[in-house]
Amino acid sequence: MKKILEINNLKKNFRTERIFFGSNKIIKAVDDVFFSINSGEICALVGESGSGKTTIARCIAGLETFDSGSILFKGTPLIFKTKEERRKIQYIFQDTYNSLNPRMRIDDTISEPIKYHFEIKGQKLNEEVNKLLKKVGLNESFRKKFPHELSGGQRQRIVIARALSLKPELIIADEPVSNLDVSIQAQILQLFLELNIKDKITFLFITHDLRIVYNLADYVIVMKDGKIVEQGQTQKIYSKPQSDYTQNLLYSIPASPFKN
Amino acid sequence: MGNIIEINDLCVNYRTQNQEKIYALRNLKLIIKKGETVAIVGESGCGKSTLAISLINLLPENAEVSGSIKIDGKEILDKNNKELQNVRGEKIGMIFQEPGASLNPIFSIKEQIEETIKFHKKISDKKILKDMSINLLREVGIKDAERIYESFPHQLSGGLQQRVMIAIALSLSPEILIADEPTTSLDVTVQAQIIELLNKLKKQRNLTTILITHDLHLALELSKRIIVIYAGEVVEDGYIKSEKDAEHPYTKALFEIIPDVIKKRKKFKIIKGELPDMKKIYERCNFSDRCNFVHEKCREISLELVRADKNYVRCLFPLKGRKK
Repeated sequence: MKKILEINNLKKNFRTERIFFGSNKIIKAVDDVFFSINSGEICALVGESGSGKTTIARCIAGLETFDSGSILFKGTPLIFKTKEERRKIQYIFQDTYNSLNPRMRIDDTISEPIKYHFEIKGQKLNEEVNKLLKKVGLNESFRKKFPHELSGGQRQRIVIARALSLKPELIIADEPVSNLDVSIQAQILQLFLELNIKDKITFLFITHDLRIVYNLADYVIVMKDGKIVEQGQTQKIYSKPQSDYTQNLLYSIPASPFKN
Repeated sequence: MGNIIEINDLCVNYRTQNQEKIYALRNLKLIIKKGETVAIVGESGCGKSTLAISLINLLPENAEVSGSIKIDGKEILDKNNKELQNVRGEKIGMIFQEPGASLNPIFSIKEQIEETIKFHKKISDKKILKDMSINLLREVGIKDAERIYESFPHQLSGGLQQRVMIAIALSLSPEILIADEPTTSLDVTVQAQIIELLNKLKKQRNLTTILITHDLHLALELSKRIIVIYAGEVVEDGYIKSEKDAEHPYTKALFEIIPDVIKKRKKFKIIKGELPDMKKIYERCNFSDRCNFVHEKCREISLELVRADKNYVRCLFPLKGRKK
């Protein structure tokens, strides 16, 4: 299988602010991380908060610079000089409310990136928006609405539609369902699976919910304090966790079947 | 053992700005015995939190309440704020979802724990107050209690903040502890620790515990009796251990949507649709639009909570036999 993303020796430090005469502390948010994602896979990045999951994701999307190491997208390093490069990687954030512009109608939210990247307009654009809404399970009546009129699940669908509008090859989903209700969670996750299978989109899925990961991901990366503790095929990690930390995570699932 | 909480025909409506009514709770009946642990489970918007705050009569001003809530035989809905002071905190302790938002950022933990004790128990001796606070912090599993006692909320992690919240809730030795989504904003490992702590505390202090959550598995970790709420009504009430015990189709559906970690399916089961419009009252089963076992009759008449096999279920065709 072809590798879509390769990450080598990635390091990222944050400095805390100096307080009076004290020296500033260095926090190693990402510490020498290696991994790669195969094309067409769903890869899950798991760990507690503060383990560096989001920092890695932000580095990949170009939202954060990194100190050393390299990120290769389909064999070439990402520098984000061209529109085309930005288009291929899309990001879905946890907080749906803050990801949508409250003053823009859903119609504009979805069509704006299409206009910019593909330079199509009129009837063709119209059809494209309808097609995207249909793909995420919404109908045309949503086009005239504003984000505050929608529920959390519907907003997340709009965010997904916007990400899909650019025909990305890799979608980074950073805790996309943790603010949603259990029943809505399942609907959104099923949508991700369908996109993965039908449209062959590769996903980097960040979460701390190990029940979701087991059903969703092909490959799991477990992180702790900026380092990778363990990585491998999902089945293998769940049936034979090598590190104590992974084991502890599995025990912590509510009503965990791993306890006995 | 007597009943500590008796709720009868409780209706709560919220009035919106354009004078529409949202029916958050509809003729809710619930009896909780002393020392019992119950978990109230449901989706967001179904009225779980409304139920929790009506137990301490802390509903916002645009809410209209009718019915009765009796705690230890005493009606609380007609009491004013001053009279409620012996209920809030002393009788019922409450833990909210976001510990970071519940603690006041400009006061130290010391001041926040002692404030409650000072006000209610009229103790002003600093040494006694300190001893009491530190003991409480130790009881909720904080090891270096002395250091935490002096710190401010922002210096603590989410798990520690929630432990402090539990300590404050327990500071007046209440008989009832209500935990409203106590672990939603916490990490999995911390969540497991907090549930373990609640389990320990309820045994040690013989607390009547009410856990409010949307996570059925979390509910199973703490409680044997599960009350499932849907669209402001109790749809199932009974002792549930696993999916097999579910008698209402909604409870079964709630179990099914939780992904399995034994058998990899690469598929998520879903409940189609969303909650019904809470601004309307329908003369039919509220779950009928989303139900997999729906029957024509379900859309015609509404139902009372009736015993099916072992549990009380609001369904015409429960999954386990109803004797005729």
